[in-house]
Amino acid sequence: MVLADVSLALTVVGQVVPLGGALLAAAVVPLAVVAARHRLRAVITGAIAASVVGFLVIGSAAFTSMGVCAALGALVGAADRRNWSRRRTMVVGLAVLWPSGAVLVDVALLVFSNLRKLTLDQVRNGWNGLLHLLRNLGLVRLARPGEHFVAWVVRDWWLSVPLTLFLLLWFGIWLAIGLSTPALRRVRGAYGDPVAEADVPGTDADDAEKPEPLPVALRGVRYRYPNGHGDALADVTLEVHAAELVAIVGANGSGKSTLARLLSGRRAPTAGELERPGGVGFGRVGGTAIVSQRPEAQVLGVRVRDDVVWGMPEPQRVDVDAFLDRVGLRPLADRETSTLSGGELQRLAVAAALARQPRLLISDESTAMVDAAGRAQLVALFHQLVHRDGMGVVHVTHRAAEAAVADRIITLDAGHIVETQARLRTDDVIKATYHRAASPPGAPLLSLERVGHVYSRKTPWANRALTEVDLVVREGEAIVVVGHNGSGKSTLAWILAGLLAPSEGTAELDGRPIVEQVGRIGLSFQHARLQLLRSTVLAEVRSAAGVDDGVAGAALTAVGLDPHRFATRRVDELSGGQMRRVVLAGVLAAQPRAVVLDEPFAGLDADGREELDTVLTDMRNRRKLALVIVSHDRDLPAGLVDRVVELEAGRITRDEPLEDAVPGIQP
Amino acid sequence: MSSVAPTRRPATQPRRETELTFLRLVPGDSPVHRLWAGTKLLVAAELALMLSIMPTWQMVGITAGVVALGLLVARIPLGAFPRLPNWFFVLLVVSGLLSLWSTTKPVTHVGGIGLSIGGLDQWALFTAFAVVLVVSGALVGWTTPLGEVAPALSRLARPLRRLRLPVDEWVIAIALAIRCLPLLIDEIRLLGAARRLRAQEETRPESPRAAIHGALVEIHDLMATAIVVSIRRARDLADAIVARGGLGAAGNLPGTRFRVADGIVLVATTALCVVTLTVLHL
Repeated sequence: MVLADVSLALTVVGQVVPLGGALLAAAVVPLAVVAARHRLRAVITGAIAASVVGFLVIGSAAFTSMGVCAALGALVGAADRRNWSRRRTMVVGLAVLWPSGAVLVDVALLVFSNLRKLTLDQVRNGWNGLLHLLRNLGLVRLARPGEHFVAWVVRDWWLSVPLTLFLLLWFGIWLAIGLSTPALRRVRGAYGDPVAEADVPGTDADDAEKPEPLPVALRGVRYRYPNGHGDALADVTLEVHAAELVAIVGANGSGKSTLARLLSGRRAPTAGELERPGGVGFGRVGGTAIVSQRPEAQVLGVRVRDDVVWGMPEPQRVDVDAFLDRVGLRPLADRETSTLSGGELQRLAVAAALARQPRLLISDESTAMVDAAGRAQLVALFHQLVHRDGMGVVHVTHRAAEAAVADRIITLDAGHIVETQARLRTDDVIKATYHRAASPPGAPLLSLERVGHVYSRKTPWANRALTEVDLVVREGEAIVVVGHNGSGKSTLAWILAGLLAPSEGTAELDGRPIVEQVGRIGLSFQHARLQLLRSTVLAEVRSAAGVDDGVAGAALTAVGLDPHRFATRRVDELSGGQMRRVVLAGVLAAQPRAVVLDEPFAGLDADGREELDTVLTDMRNRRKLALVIVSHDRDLPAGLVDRVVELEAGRITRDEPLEDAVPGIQP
Repeated sequence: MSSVAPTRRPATQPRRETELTFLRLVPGDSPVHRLWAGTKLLVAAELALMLSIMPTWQMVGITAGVVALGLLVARIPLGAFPRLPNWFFVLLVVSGLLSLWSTTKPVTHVGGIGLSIGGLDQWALFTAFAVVLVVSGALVGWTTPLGEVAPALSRLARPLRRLRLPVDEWVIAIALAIRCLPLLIDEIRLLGAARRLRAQEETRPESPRAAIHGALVEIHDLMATAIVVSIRRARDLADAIVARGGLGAAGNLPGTRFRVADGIVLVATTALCVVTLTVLHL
């Protein structure tokens, strides 16, 4: 379980670095979470990683503060696991940490004696100055004992510093308990008790077997998750052969991803038979590889080149350039992976899979978060792998156009393979059944005049995101802003919501800069989870909008979530689409003048899209709310938008009513 | 700035924002950029050690000289330095004034007020010491691609392997932490924005105790959200590692080579440290 430990430790601890400067105490919490759920070794690994990264950011001070945080975190985490009382945690903590800490500090001060003198001189001079001031103010009685005290601190540093450390530790432990306990409770609420639930690789027996994943045959397979109610898959019978492109389609929750897990050997069927000629060889040469949904989550290397061979036993022997060439990324080989777009990241993931020369490639909704051009490239690549290299490819998708190129389509519904065609997302641009808004748009609401924005201005990293953007959004109007990754869409969304003051030009709401009115324009992020700060649904809506139960309940109803069923639900139990709707409820309850939505439809299946579409149309027509939808995709539901604004490289290249933007569509 | 004057402009141009400019590569191809990452880390460590042993003006001067030479050769523009928040400068000035008021000799008298030149001197030395240390670290970040750091550490830590410490595990963790850093900064930015978009408490808390309680609740909420999101990311990461068939040789990454220039720089810095320490202070 070292793998999970390491990755968990480091990512959780990674949170520390940016927060650390402002809020050192907060750094204890992630380490406490690691300590509560994993072994001490994970805490140490995490603390080392965080110190090194911290060192690169703020210098050697990071080591000391990280050490302190790791010690406190390990204490609180261990106490939580053993259910210690607060007092016991405090006593044990002081008894263990103080003596060792005091000795360490004294030794360090003894070794670096000159630095110690310089630092203590600072203390003395500062105090002297202050005392001088007090004396001049006539507070002699205060000044005298202070003088003696400081003189003692400086003279007997070997005693005074450890005593100060004792007080600091006492306070630190008190704060660490106070901050960590609720966080630990929430994490347990969200993830249950510390049981490793991540997918497990094949057993050792499987590893010993020669990889030969195809052809694979499933007969009457059933799967039920360990603490799940009902079967995720039931009575599934199918075969996958080499040189075959199989599409698996179905709605969210129909069991597509579970089937992908069974095929890749990360789960074994609860009942039924699953046969292969050899081992699955998951992630091994000649075995099974997977490309999953979230582009940034599966990239492990810092540089593109490193990522391709990450985890391979003999990276030197791999012809990295050849594999990058296959996916069209060779020119980017030396770029840092954090600079790639979603589509490029997915192709990189395919290259990393290819480096292992797999017989079976599983794409678990790898196209869901990618724009149209990226999707087309990926699907073409899969096609090529099947027909040129004779690989077996299983592609899980929502989209009709992608399923159409497959040799075989398997449709899942509630865990069963069905004959009928599932409802799929169509790729036609914007449907012809387009309705005008119930009333024409009203007065101008948001106006952007010659807006430009440069990130990191006046630094070597200056990066222009927007240039001379003129845009007016009227009351009750719905516009869609389309553009590729990096076209400046998100910057525009942040400026419209008042989160960012444009570096050039003016952005106004009712004639005043929007930045001064943050909160009057609602904004929903693509990553909805980050916007949900409370643990339960109703509390979240109440706190987001600052309203009472009644208003919050009404807002939930308005977004199609029944308050009786959802009010007390935990935020972490919701699906992605439901999270987005809870965010919207919070935004709506605050009665904004306009709402900006960042990629509201990404990753939703046909039904999810329809529900959200209904909510948004209703918002616009009944509440006269202006809507700005930001999307990398022109694949939007019918009847929602009046105007299309296209951004390219930070400039508006098109701003037209819908019927003009899409030729041949009748209003 | 565009040359065309817009009809209306905000009264004052927004100033450069306060932001983290460390750990970002300043584009360029100077001799400093080409050095092995391990060399730069070692030099920075040597300078820090020397300064900590002997924090005197001569030492600060010599170290500052080395760092300034590095900055010049690497052609680091002034814009690369982070813009610090105002409260930082206020604190600096206040502490300077307090030292000026202390009684450390020599003390001069200006118009009947005793001004401690000695105190001011110590304060200036301490400040210079801290600044030189921070800038020397920053120079490493500005001239080293992030991808080079973990391979260099893996090589530097080779002796530790003999002590049977899980060095590979640490190096992998560091490499992954560096890889996740941009994602993380983005997430923190989003989290901050999400907080700003929410309704703010209008009513003032009745007591300081209630105010502290309110602040703690808010910190809890932000931390809990960040951690839940992080655990999800960690799981994805674990899945991704499993999908690559385990760690493989990831702890032993290929990096840039150690070249003659690295040897020269290392020997020169070490010699400088030893010589100055002995000549000036023994």
